[in-house]
Amino acid sequence: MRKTRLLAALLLLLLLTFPLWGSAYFVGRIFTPALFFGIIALSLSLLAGYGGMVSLAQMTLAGLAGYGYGYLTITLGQPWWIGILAGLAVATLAALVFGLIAVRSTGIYFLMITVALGMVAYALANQNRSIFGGHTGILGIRAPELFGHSLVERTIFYYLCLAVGLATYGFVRYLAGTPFGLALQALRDDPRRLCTLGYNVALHRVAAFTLSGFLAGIGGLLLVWYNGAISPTTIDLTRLINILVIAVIGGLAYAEGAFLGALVFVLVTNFASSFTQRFNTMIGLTFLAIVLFSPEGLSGIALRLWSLLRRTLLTRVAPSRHTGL
Amino acid sequence: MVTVELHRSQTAARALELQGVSRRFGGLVAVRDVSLALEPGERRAIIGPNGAGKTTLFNIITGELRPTAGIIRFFGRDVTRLPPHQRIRLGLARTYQTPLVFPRLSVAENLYLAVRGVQPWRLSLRRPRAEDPERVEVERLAELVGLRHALHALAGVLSHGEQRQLELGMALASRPRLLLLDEPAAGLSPGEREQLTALLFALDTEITVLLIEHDMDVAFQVAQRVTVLHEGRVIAEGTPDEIAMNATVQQVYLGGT
Ligand SMILES: Nc1ncnc2c1ncn2[C@@H]1O[C@H](COP(=O)(O)OP(=O)(O)OP(=O)(O)O)[C@@H](O)[C@H]1O
Ligand SMILES: [Mg+2]
Repeated sequence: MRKTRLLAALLLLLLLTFPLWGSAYFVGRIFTPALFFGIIALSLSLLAGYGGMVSLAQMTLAGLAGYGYGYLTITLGQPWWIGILAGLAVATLAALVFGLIAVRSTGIYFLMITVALGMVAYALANQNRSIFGGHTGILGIRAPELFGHSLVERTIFYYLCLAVGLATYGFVRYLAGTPFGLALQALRDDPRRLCTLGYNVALHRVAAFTLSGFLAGIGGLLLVWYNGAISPTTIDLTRLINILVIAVIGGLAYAEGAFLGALVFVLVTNFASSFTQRFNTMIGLTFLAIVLFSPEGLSGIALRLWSLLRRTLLTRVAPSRHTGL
Repeated sequence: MVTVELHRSQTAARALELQGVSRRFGGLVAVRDVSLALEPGERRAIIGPNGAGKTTLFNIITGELRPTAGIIRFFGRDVTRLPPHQRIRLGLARTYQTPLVFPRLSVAENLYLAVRGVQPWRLSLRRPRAEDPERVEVERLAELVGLRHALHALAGVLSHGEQRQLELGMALASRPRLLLLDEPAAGLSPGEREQLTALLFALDTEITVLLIEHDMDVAFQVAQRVTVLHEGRVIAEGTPDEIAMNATVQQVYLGGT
């Protein structure tokens, strides 16, 4: 445990000092997007890892937060903080509605329903001009400005994404040991048993989905600030699937995996596209390799390596779980 | 004595009352017109050969299955249309024929969920603290069912017998008024059986217990009355002695040919 803490502290130190020694390209174009995609994927880790619900609508929810922010600040000319509140509210409410529709089904059916909902939102955004701006979407979206600095200035935005990423990550980890999180893990393993302990399983699923919508919305706001625009492309089928790919690459059941997967994803898309047009194929192959060779994703591989390392090089440490219960 | 019993049953609400309960699965009638009444504090065993409909009856009582006909009353209240989680909150608890615990959660977490399940704010976003009454209760329950040493073990790694103990602890965690036990002694070693019987004897006498049991020793020791189910029907009901003597029961169940 102490060794793991040490490793985490080292990693944190590297991330905190990254803008001082990392190249502008890596800070701004690799790590920053990895962080906000990581947050969106984290909303899926929460649902899938704890609750056993694999949703493909997380990018839709993130995108809806972006649309909410854009509509309020650009179309209605409201200040940024109203845009933020509206964006988060839209994502959370949409997740509540999606949840109410989807939670009666499980497994692959749940996944299919979330895709369908995502596609409905996509079609709506594409066709509605007054709010969504139709095919063009909403352009010229600006991030909040504080003390004369736009929040999307490279270094500031990196730290913003890092702070939000750490906060959401910490929250999801904390959740594991709360009654909410424990019940969520319990319903993943045996919804019927949870029901005969007095829990309303459907309600809990909806609540978890709603919470994941809020998290996805946070990621969506960062995304829309980074892009400065939002259009239906942001929430098309490919983008929806990308989030699942990220989470699976990183390890669906691990909160860390969301960020690890996002980093790998952004790296592969950036570098593969520089030497081949077929970066989708690259991503597809990476995905396949992970699913075939390590269903637990990169987190699973990393964990195995780490425990191997600890066992061979360092003193034995008793495994200890973090919930304290 | 008999008149006193009758008088009591007429005034106080029964712990459980089934009236003409049936359940069919397609062409199969698993439970057929079953009526049953349990006085508060009563210990009742249900016996019957495999496929008699005992577990199905439990599922109907908890609400996991809807009856195709009939009424279920719990302490006088008609719960026939109530979903399971609401019946549990009224003071009903059960265990399963094959222990159902959450394998990837620890023993303590399993018990904690069971304690929280019947409380408001069961979906709280606040982590439990060491001094919380629920945590204290978890330790008491673990002690009670003899799992104190395994509090932090994952439930999935427990032996079959230990999982049964854990499930019993989870059922007691809600401080139920009516406890349904589906073959609690199945798969237990003779030693574990004795512990179980002792624990059942030591239960608060106010708790009404309905248990399904293949093991006659356990059933006839613990229960004051026995109901015999056969092909979904109640074919006999009485004291353990009466049931042991009953000719029909011997024919269908005790293997007397
Ligand atoms: N969900 C279901 N769908 C279809 N048939 C079922 C279902 N549950 C039970 N049955 C059938 O109903 C009948 C009664 O089953 P039940 O499990 O209640 O028997 P039981 O008395 O508990 O038997 P055992 O002693 O083997 O546990 C059986 O024939 C069984 O196959
Ligand atoms: Mg059975």
